[in-house]
Amino acid sequence: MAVADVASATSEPTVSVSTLRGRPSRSTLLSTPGWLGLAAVLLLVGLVALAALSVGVALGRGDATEAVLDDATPLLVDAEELYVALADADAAASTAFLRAGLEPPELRDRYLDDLETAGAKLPLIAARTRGSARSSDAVAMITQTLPLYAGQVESARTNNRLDNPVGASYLRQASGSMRNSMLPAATGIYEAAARDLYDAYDEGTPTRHRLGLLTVGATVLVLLVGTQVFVAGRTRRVLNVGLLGATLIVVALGAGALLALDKQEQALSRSQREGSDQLIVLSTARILALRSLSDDNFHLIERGTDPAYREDFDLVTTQVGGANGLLDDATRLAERTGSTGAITNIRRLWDEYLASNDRVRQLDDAGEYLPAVRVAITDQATAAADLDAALGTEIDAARGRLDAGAGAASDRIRWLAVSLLAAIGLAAILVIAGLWVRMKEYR
Amino acid sequence: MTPRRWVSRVRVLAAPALVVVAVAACSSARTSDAALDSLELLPQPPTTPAVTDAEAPEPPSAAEAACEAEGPTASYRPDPAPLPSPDELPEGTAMREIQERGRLIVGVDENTKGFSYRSQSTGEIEGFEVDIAYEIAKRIFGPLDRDIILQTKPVITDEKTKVVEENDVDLTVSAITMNCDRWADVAFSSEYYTAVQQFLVREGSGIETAADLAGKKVCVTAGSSSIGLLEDHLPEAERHEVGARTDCLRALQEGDVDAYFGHDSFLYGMRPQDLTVEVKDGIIPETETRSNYGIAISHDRPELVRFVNAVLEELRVDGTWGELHDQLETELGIPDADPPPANYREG
Repeated sequence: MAVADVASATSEPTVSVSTLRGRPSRSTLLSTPGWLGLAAVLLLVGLVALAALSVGVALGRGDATEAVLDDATPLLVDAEELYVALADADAAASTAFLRAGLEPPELRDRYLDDLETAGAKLPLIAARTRGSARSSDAVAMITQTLPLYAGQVESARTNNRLDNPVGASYLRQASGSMRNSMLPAATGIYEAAARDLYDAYDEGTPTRHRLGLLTVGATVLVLLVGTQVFVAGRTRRVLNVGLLGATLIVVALGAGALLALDKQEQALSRSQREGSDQLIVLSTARILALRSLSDDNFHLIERGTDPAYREDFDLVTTQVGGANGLLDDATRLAERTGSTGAITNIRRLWDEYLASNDRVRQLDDAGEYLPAVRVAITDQATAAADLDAALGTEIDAARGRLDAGAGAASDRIRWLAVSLLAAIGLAAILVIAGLWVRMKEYR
Repeated sequence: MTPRRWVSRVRVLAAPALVVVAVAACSSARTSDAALDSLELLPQPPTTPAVTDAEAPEPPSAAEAACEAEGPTASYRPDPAPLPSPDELPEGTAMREIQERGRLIVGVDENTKGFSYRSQSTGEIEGFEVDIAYEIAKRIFGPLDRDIILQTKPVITDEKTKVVEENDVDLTVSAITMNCDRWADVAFSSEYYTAVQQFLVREGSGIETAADLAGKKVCVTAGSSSIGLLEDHLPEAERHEVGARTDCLRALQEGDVDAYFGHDSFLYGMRPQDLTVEVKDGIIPETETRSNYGIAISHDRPELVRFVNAVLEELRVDGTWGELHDQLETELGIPDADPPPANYREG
């Protein structure tokens, strides 16, 4: 070990002794002041590296946490609400069309409210998806298609009121663009936002940050301790206040930083485990529930000419309510927060929705078309609306937990960045001060 | 104290420190993306019915051969004639089967004003063709209310005969032009309506002759007899195929096509829906485009074909057909006409 060799080669480290013995044979680089200078440079480089790394870690995690809080989550929720608004608008428009004769005013209001919501969400989503070409394209497509859709729905409505069968064609065209273009695009935005959110969680908790901080921190510590050993051996002054202070600061800092990172990770992990996991599962369930409702409406509108709607209804409802379906997942996730009661309630509303759909099916299969339509636009529509509202409430609660966890993580990381920088600066000053005292003695 | 001892102390201190490092590097709280699995459940929703390609031609069947010999309008002779009362329908027949089931199920269109369309005031599908089907139902069940004995099932043009083949419906009354290709799949009743095919264009479009339609987009319903006529007479027109008849009116209104080629029975029903379109006749000679409508019935139920023919015979003779046609004249301005004469094959 270099320090040990040097120490044994020069047994008398004080200036006076060394001068008395008169051993100028070594080059100045390897003389005691040379070693001290080298140690000072190495220590400063180490401390600067530690400072840079700490700031990098803190900023990186801060950004990731902010991304969770301010970008990915709002985008995810906006995308989900956009989907809900679009799907519900189409359900309202087609249900109003199904209802022969005058459309119920509440359906018209629902349709108009949904369009307004979608219109309000689109610019918000556009602002948040600038970085993603796919999502931007999807937003642009929906923004361009929605006015055309609304025009077609109005054409359908007007023709319907005039008893012109061509109205059905306009409705088919409108719903075709909704189901085949806009809803898949909205689903794409939602999916991308969900992946962004989980990427942000990963960015906020990478293992390499701890390893990096530990490696650099340990190296600085070894340097500090080594320098003190060297200085003690050379100068017989066992305690160098500056270096000791710096050592204590680096140790305290390391422990504090690891603790803070741990707390931050726990907060972020809580945000995910108790918040976003449930948010995603329930939002996906909400989207699929709306899709099943739309499937059923279209089965009635197309009068069963295409079996695909019922097949999709069966597939989607199994995915939501079947064994190990999304509602089972939601129950398991709710156990983390003790909110299983809310999920039990959602399950009950889901069963009611399926029961009302069963009645629609039985009537439709028995050829009782108009009674089937009546149940579809009353009981089933109400059950679906209740289910949707309950899902919406639980999604809001999950988002509250997500925000709370991520907010706590964000506070931790802000504190960490400031305190790390200040402490490392102080340690650097102490190192310079401590070594300066020794080096001065060689002048 | 020698430096070596210091160094060894550093080593002793370093060992537990390394353990601390190793432990600290492992986070107690990791995030996971297991919840993202739920995203896999978001595939494409099913699309609205696509227009399918025509099926590959099959070898001619006996029914098709008989059609070639006798002509597509020749159906089986009416039997039993005169019609028995509903409680005397012969055992083991399709009519008895339908009676026991409780309803006559009929494939219809729901968008053809006058002939078969869903009325917004009643929510029911109404029109000339539904009336004909109701007359048949009344002779199976007796004079009961329409919604009790008749179940209408809307079918798109492309599936008009398929639903009969697959026994989803007992009959399809939906402007089906009888031809030998279709006789290969289903049997037909005697003719209940004669149509010609014409063009619907926007007013002032300047389309008057076949030459004007070269390179223009012409809308036709997929699976309809209009496609073959268009191929034969206007090969230079660009075909635009849609699923339902009203889709052609919408395409015309939206400027997606320049003309709609279809039966006058549909075109008359479209005029009242849009006062800026007009019917052009004679672009393809009427003798070429004459379409004889028959009611499609399964080949497995020849007794039902004969029964329906007996009903149609009655409607022609007792003036019911004329009364039903009068409604078309009032509603759509279709010219007065006599019922098409029945044509029966030997045996």
